[in-house]
Amino acid sequence: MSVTATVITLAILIWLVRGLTRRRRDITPRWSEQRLLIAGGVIMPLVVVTAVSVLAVGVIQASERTEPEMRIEVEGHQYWWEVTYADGQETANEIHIPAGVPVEMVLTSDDVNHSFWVPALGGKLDLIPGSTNEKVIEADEPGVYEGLCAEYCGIQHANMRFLIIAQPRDEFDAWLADQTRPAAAPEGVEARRGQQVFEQQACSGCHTVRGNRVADGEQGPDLTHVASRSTLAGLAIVNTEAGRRRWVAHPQIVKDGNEMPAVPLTPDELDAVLAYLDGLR
Amino acid sequence: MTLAERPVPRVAAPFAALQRTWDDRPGIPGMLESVDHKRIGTRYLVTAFAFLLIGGVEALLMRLQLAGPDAEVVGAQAYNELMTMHGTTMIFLFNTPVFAGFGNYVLPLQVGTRDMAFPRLNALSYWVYLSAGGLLYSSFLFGAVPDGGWFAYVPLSGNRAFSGGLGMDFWAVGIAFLGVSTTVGAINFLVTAIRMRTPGMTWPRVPVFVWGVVVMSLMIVFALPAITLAGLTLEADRNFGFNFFDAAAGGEPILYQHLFWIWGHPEVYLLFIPATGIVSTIIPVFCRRRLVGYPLVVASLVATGFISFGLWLHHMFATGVPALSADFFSVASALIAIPTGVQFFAWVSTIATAPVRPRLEPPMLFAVGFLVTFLIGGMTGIMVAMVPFDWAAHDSYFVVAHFHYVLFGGTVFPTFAGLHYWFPKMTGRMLDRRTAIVSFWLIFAGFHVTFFPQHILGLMGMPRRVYTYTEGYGTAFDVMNLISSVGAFVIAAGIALMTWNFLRSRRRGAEAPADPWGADTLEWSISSPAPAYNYAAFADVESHAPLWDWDEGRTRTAVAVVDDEDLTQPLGGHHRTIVTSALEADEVEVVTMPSPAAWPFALALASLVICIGIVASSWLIAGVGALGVTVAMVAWQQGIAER
Amino acid sequence: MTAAVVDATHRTVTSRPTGRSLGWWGMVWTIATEGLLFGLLLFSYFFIRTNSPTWPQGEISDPELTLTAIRTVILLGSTIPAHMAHRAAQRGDRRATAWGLGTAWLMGAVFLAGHFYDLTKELAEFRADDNAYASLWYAITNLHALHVGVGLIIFGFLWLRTLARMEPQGEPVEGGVLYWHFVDVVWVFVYTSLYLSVSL
Repeated sequence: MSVTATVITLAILIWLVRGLTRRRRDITPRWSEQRLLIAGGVIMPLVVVTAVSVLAVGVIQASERTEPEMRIEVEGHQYWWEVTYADGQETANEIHIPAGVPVEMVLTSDDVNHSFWVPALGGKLDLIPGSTNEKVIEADEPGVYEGLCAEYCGIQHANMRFLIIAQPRDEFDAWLADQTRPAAAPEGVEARRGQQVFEQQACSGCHTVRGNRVADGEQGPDLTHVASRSTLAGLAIVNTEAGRRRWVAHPQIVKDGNEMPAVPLTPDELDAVLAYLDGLR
Repeated sequence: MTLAERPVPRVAAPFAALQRTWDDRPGIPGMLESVDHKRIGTRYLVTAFAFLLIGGVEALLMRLQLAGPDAEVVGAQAYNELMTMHGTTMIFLFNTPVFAGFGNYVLPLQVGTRDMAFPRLNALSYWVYLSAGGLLYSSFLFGAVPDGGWFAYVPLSGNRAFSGGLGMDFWAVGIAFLGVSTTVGAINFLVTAIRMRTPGMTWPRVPVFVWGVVVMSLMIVFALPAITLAGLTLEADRNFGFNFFDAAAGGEPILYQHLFWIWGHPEVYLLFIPATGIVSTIIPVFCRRRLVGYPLVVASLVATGFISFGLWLHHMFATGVPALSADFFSVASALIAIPTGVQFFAWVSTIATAPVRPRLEPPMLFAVGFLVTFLIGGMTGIMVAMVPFDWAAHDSYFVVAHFHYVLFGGTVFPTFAGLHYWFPKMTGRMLDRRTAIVSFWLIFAGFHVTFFPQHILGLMGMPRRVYTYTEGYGTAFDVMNLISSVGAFVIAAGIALMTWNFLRSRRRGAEAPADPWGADTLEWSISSPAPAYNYAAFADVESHAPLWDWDEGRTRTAVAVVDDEDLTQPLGGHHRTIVTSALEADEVEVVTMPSPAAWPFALALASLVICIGIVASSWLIAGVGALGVTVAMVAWQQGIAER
Repeated sequence: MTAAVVDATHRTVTSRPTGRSLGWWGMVWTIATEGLLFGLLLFSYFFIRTNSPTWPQGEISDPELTLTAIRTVILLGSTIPAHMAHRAAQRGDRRATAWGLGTAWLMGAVFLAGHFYDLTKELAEFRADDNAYASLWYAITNLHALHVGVGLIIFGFLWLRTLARMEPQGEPVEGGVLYWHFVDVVWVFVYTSLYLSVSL
């Protein structure tokens, strides 16, 4: 592509220079002078366009052929990604996949249009409410690949990113098995008190913690294994103790306009909730 | 072979009586009543230029926010509002109307007539444009600035749950309202070009710029209904509970994208086509060389117009279209390279075979700046037309860079070229040449500094429409964003200098001769500024460059209508001109044109009231507006019936 | 010619009619753009219909055919007197023009009255905010009715002018009748898409 472009540009420059040095006298063009126009304006683009089109069509057709070995449902929300595996395991913003295996992303949206894009793993595909799109991705090497929402979806479109975490097959299977179990019971007084606060306050209305009968909200991410994730809030926060604290205490400062309200907690309650969340591994 | 060798002016003192007949009344009444296409054209240009400045300031604020990682200059909400209004302003309020402005000022002059076919509708077009622009910007007063993106995709923009407030209502109603202005203007251009060409101006003798406006207008007629429908259905969904796009109630969100791009893709080309018309006007003049391949260039304009209607789906490759249609649209998109290539090589050939060294006057500089910039934009255009590449580049900064090369490079440079070219005709004054050249280099350099790095940013994975990015993408990423922001301020400096040049030269510039450039089209055969009646006598032309025919010694002929229809004399104070037959422009008929009237202004104002009523969900206000519209239309009719 | 005009030779011509009026040309392009508007609405209609499991959606019953068929015949029939009015205006027969315009106006008015009758019945059953079918239904039929209404205003205006013996009549009648034909043709598409193809 760039070679063609360079050749074209050079050809044009040469013609310009030639023209500037050789002058004719009449105002009216002769027909023979239109040969340059036909060569450069018709034949050359025709050749280039045909060539690149054949290439492009080849790639499009090839991209259709990959057969996926597993399916993962991805639902877009303002401004985070809900990820559901075949046996109902749920996580958010971090999609674990086995490396070297073609995986089909089943994409839909809960609210507005989003677009699934992992630059290192290929092109993008939109998430549209009311319909599903399927996209097969494959990471040849284990590693962490950053992805993002590529369709403007509202005020925090910029903070709707995600990670693809490609693991060796056995590591992935172990992770998925671990995600299957319900939440661990809180350990220690502080964490137990945190669970109570979590249940009594608004938190449980929006978040599910599998194994907890009160916490069954659907609006926000599933928190069953939240402490095992490395990021929060569409990658706006690194999931350390300090990061979690900042997020729970000031969600509207960290990510202005997102759906999570600032829940009025006393400092004690905040400490307790954080202790509870820390146990959700 | 420059202007000094030309006998100018060709037309001596204006005809006092004609002048009186065609002149507007003095003061505000005359201003509101005016149906003078030159006055309306100039208003269009000034208003569009003002919107360019506003949209430019919005861009500067955005680049400030993006100058460094995690910046807090304007914040998320304000950034999204600026982004929405920048796109909306530049496409709808600057780029489209600015060509209506050139069309209005230049088209009747180049075809050698005295006014547009429907002078009052022409006034209406402008007033509606001004009202719609005002409506959109009044959203700032109510703190309800549109924030759903200039494309207003649903469901984000189609549902109050996702985009609260009245912001997107202002957008939807404003855009549909503006469509009235654009459509009426286009129909006016078409009928003017079809029926009001001076005798002898058969279609192969129509100047290229007029061809550009004709093709643009045809495209508007066929493309605009889509955006009007998109705006109306969007507002119906938002404000009146309709379900066109609500998947939960059986609607189809993706339908909106079809409607938007059925308009949106031709829109890009309908901006580009009159812009190339300006370039094809200017390059021959400054090379003193008739355009090489005029018939092929005209055919290319028409072909570009046709092909552009088959391409809308290429904006939707990422929505999950079937592979076969992706193939089709991919190839069809790339096909546009052929007519574009023809035009490009026509310009290059014209320059290359010029009998004189091309004169690098400011209009020519901007035209050459266009050639260079557009070449790069065209290359990246073929790249994004290829689906596999588009999957990677779509909605990244690569696309931002690409369409700024195409739109800024492809239409704003020609706009500036045109403004510098016709300024003497419009004002009777010359622009300061040195200032103009400095402003060109600032804009040209600033443009490439701003937008070239964005290609690379896009390939590095920077998505569009983000109000911020985090640290950690690497120094190169941050530095390129900073360079881009610095470039934006260089452009701003250039445009500020240019604005100052316009303002200052309008009063203090050297007096312009009738034909400062040694040009080839009819408007340069009359005094600068052009008299209110344009032409006392109607030229009988033999080519698309009649002034050069005369320079070459061919007989100069004018048409005299016999006896009592002598058009050099005003009759009963009426605006009179001639219409000619549609194809050959050989039959001549004297017609009386509608007189100046303030009813178009009143009609636009009353329509604005209806729009306000819809935005405010007030049937009372809308009803008052409807009453006003009825009164204005009846009064308008009465005015015409009197003649 | 005054000598002040330029060193040009003059070709003398006579003013004579040069074909269709400017208004007719304006109407042609107006019809083109309006036709596209209806075309896109019907495109939207079929786009949503194709992707919908049931049609009509929800509990809405199929559109009623008989009354609408009668209305259709009346509207299409009105093009005949409209055309006759056009021909009469061209040869300057004011009486026949007024008769043609008046008859076409009456037939159009009956069609419109039928639409409003239809509307009251439909509104009792479903509303525009029920689902996408309902939205499309009301948007398309009412937009067409609005065009018929505008046509009636134009014809009423032309009729009054004809009665008031204003000259010349040919040009405005030419544009008005062209618009009326357009409104009728659009109805054929609307009727086929919204009524026939659903109920048959």
